Amino acid sequence: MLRRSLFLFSLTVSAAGLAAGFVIIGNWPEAGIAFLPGLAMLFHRRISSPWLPSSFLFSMILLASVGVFLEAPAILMILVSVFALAAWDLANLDRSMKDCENSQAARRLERKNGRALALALGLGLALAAGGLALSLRMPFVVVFALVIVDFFCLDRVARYLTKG
Amino acid sequence: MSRKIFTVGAIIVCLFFTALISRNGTLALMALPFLTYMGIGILGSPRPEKIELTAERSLETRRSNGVSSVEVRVTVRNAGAEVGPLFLSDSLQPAMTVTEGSLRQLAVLETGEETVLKYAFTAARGGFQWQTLHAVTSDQFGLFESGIELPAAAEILVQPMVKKFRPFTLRPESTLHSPGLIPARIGGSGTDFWGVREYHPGDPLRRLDWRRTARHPRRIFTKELEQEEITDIGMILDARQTAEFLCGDESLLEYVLDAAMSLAEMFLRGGNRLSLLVVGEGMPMVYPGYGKAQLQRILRVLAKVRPGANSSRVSLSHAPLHLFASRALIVIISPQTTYDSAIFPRFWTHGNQALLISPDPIDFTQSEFARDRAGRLAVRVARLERRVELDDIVRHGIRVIDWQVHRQLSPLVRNALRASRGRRP
Repeated sequence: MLRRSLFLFSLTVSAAGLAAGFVIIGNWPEAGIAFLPGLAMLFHRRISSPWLPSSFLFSMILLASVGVFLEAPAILMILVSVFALAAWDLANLDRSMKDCENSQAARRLERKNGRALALALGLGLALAAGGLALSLRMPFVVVFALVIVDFFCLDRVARYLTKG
Repeated sequence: MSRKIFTVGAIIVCLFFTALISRNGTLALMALPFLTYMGIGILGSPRPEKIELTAERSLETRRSNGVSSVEVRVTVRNAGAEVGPLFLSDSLQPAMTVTEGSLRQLAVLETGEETVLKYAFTAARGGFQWQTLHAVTSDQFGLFESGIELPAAAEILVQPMVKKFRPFTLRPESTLHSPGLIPARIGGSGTDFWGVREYHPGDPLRRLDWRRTARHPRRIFTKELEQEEITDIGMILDARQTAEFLCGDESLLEYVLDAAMSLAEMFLRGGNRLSLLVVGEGMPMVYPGYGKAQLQRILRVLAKVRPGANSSRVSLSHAPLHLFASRALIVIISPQTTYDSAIFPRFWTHGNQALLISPDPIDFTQSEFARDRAGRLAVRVARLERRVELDDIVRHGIRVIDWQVHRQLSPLVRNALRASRGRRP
């Protein structure tokens, strides 16, 4: 029940945030389109395609990026991406818990996932908000090098874990 | 790579590169929640060296009759650090149908805790064995998965209920000199009257034929009873790919196996010595033996039979006839013997009496043929071809039962084996 409520809340916030962002800049058609991925995601239990949650997340991030380019409020677009990620994660959790007959195990798994999700998204949102407040100008080459190093580190860590 | 990690990774890469190309910092900031999400996933991902899971599989029974379902319980214990989420999945083997429960389970196990994966299945026939249980553990978000095969071995034999034939007296051409139920066409210690002969010293007095003795002064006569013995029987079962005909959900081989089980049960119930050779993959055989233990051996082999060997590689003619005693009654069960004609003269030279039970594949698969003129002609030609083939076998002195599988086999076998006229070795 908690999982379902959180999923609906995240879905609503992400779709409404996106629509609000487009409305603020006066792009009404895009505001209408912003609700479509959310509407499709409402039926994720009935549509058995495993790619539906991922398609939803990609669409939301794409629309949020469009919003950023159209100069919609940045904090709103970051919020959209955070809540879209939460909705995607909860939808996936819902799918994987179909096999969980033991209600005690289900509750424990739900709690564990909820805590980790809150921590990840809270930290991510705080960092992003901090980044918005902090104006730091760096040459392109430095930024590019930082991104490459970042990806390299991520790849190493992921490879180490998956190999083990 | 799991679908989730692919999605998150692709979004991070896309956002960063778009941010770089467009020189827009907000897009890079949008990627930060995804990075923290992935970072927490990495921190929570399972360390394989710390996973200490053990599994134990228990089956309700080690032998099933194929009617009732069998419960499988796999208990997984965690002796290491907390594991969760843990996805357990068991393999569904061919011919198995799950009737209760699920083959998959999701659990969270703290140190010392255990969970039970429980399901029930039915199968018509076969030997089933498991070696491992597949377990997948991951971080809280399911981004980094680690698969483990937990040893959990068990096996079960599903052998169908034997449909018992009504017993009848066999009339084989030769018998073994051991007391049994088959009239041996020689005088001895049986129950049926056989003849009268002159008294030999040592004959029991209760067998004296007083009437005949009274008619012939100074001579004494003894009544002789017909000796009852057992016989030696060998069964050859054709389980090659060519013997397998399917019609909808039904398989001709299943009828063949049912018939073989029933015949084996009937022959052994009569006290006879029986051996079995399955012509197919691996050529399994059961050496001659008697009684219930032998029946169990035969049923075990028949339960595991699968259509396998190609008839171009394995022919009935390759059957090792030396497995069977000379003069034994050989019962061959095969629907198609087109390329195996060389075996039938060998029975004659080996001194065996042979009976071919040939389930009719044309009758069995008739509903699959087209109902137009061409289809009807095809059926007719196939029937003629089969008729010629079976007549050719009869010419070798082999008794042939052309069996339409929806008809009862027992009366046909009774007629075929009763009509034998005996000869003594």
